[in-house]
Amino acid sequence: MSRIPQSTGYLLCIMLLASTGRVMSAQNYKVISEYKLLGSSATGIAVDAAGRRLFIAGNDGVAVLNADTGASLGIIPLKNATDVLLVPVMNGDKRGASTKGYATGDGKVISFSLADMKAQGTDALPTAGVSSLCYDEDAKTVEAVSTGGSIVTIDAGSGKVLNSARVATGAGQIACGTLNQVYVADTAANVVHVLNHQTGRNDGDFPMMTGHRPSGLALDTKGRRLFVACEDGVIEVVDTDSGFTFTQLKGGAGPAQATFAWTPQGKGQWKAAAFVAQRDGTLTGVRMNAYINYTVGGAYKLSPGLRAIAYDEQTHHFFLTATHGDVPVVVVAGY
Amino acid sequence: MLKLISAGSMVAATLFATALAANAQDGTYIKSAAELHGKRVLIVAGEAEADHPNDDRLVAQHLTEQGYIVTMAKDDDAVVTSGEDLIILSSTADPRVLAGKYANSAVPVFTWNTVDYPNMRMTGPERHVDFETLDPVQDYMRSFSVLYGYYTNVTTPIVREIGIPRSEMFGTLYLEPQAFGWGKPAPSADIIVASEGDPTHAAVFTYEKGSTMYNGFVAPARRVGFYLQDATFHFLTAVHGPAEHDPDLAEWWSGLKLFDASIRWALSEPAVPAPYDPAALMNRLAAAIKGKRILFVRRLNTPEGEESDDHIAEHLKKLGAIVKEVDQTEPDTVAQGEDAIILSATNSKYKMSNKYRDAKIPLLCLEGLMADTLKMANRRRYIDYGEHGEPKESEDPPEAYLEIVNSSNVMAAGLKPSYVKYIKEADVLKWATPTPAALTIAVLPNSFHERAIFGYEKGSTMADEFVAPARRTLLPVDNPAFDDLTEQGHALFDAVLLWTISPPATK
Repeated sequence: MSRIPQSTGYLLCIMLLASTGRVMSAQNYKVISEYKLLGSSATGIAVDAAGRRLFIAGNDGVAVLNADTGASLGIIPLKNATDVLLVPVMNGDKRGASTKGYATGDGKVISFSLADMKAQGTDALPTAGVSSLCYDEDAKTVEAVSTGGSIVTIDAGSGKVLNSARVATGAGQIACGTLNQVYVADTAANVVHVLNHQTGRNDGDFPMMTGHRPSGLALDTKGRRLFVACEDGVIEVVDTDSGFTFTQLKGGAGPAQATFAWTPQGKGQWKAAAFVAQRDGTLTGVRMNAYINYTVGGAYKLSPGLRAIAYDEQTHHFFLTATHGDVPVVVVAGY
Repeated sequence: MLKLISAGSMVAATLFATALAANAQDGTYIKSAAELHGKRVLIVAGEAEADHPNDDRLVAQHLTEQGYIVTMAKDDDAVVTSGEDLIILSSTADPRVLAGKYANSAVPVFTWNTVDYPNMRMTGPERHVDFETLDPVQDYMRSFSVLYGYYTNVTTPIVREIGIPRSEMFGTLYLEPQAFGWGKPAPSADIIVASEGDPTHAAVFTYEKGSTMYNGFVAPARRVGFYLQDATFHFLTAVHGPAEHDPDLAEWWSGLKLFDASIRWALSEPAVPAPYDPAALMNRLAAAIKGKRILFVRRLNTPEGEESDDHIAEHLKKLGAIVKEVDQTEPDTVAQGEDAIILSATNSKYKMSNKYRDAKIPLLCLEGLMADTLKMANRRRYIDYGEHGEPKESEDPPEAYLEIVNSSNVMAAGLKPSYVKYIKEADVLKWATPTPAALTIAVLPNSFHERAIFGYEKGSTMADEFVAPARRTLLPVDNPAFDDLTEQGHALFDAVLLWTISPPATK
């Protein structure tokens, strides 16, 4: 990429954006609770807001907790689970209760019922390695991307595999939702791959403008904005139509995961935001002021070791997986 | 077999090298980044302030990545006189401090210090008239309109370099209200990008070395004006991912490519015109026109100008051309099988209709009033085209002189930038105001917009977005002025004809 990082002038600009009064937070996120988990890892996380349950992927399977108390509700067997998602049920713009979920790990994808928390089907992935999931709202498909180099498209309703292809991927987060595109952060190559899940091909890459080692992704499918959190602390906001980074902001440090939410603090507060959790314990809120204007709404120090992040639209809390020492936990952040 | 291939390759290589050399001499060749690796670039900039960040260091970093050796200087540093291959003037430098101290530099200058344009003699002096800077707060609405630029001429080396196939709009900067600068350059400039729908609001423009800038100042080296401002470099458009494979989108988001190509143009070899030598010029013309079929369209049995037309025809035949003389009333199918067309000023514009407009062969027009029918200018008589010295038809007096403003082009016959006596006695001289795509060689004295000699490259955009099917030139030889041309006037006639019939730079 031609316009390069670590320019003092540009970093100064970024720091200014992060520190001006205009971007001060309306809410101050902090840790309000923490749930300890069994097992030795906690990676992916999903929240069933209507059913008040959390689903956490870990080496023992998908742990199910009470979202409000942290009490264990059971476990869905899947060895070395790395990611989990719940298929959203939309009633117009409003989200209804999910009835089905997917989890991935150990070279396969399973579907499960939220009613009885039992696996319904299993599909093998063509490649081994850590795998991640995202949901394409337009196509109603679940996309499973393996770091081993494959993408599998599953009909979200039936669980049937629609497409399977080998293609170079990456070790970072994935995001999808529209235009048949699956974005894959390739931390090592310093790009975001744009995979087409219909063709199974790479349609092109988004290079980083100044950031290094992209790992966290969040997608606003309406605004067609991809928020790319890099391990060096740069958060790039990319116009996915052009692949152009038009805003760069300052986040935390280390591997990142991100999520996007509309009115994350309810009406009258932020219109929308991407929230980035990073390994140094920073939760950064990238606030949308307009579709072409984003600022750091706040950078909140939670606790180190943050990994995945899920937004609870009922409480406006965030659930974040983390590891404290060797103990996997779920950090609940709110204001 | 191997030897044959090698021999063939050598011939091809020799031809290629010859072509490269020719291109290098006419200033149309832009060196690649690899060829320019190690060139020294000096960026003259102000200091970044806490409340006023800028992109100067990003620019430096970007250029370093391209392989240039970049150094930074402050606006109040002494003028660099040697060792640099390109000087960049950022808008962050204080134009009052710069005060034109790089105007005389024999080193190419690339500037986005819009307010310094007048000091550099790149535009006139008046803000909002000759140049303008737009601020996204103060000029909120206009700061959106400048997001859309227009490539005025796809035949310029820079636009060819980035592969824009036709004059069209594009996104200059990313979709936010942006700071912006434009200038209204002198007639010799190539306007690469126009903004705000106004062909004279040049967002990007260039001066070839030796061309006449504002107030008769002759460019000591190449000059480029660019639309950037303090902190907009990182908004220069670029395209990645799926959109990169869509030609429309790739052409649309081409701001950064344009910047890079403009830098490389500034660093490439300028045109080196042959010196003024009418005899040598005539020999070159004879070599080029010998055996060519020239259609000379004139009014036969005309009450005035007959002798002049006869002498034009004789001149062409003497040079070795095969001349077919036809009356203005003939259908333009008479051009079939010909190599080029010359339209005499004895023709009546009214009787000629729109003939020869679409001819796919080069055309030299000697009658300025036909500029609109031939799409060389717009249609407002006495505004877009007109004349000096015609009783009752012009408020301007007869004229004998032209001002050469672009010596770098072969059409200037090697004449230096200055007034030249074109016809022996002051008389009628026609002019037109072409689109920015035209190459302007000479203007009527004291009138920038009254362009007397100009040409359109094949493929360039003429009036009404008409694409030149072949080269088009205008040279005022009113009847019976051919016999009244001075030596310089004859040389200009030959030079314009030579350029007209020469192979175009574009296919």
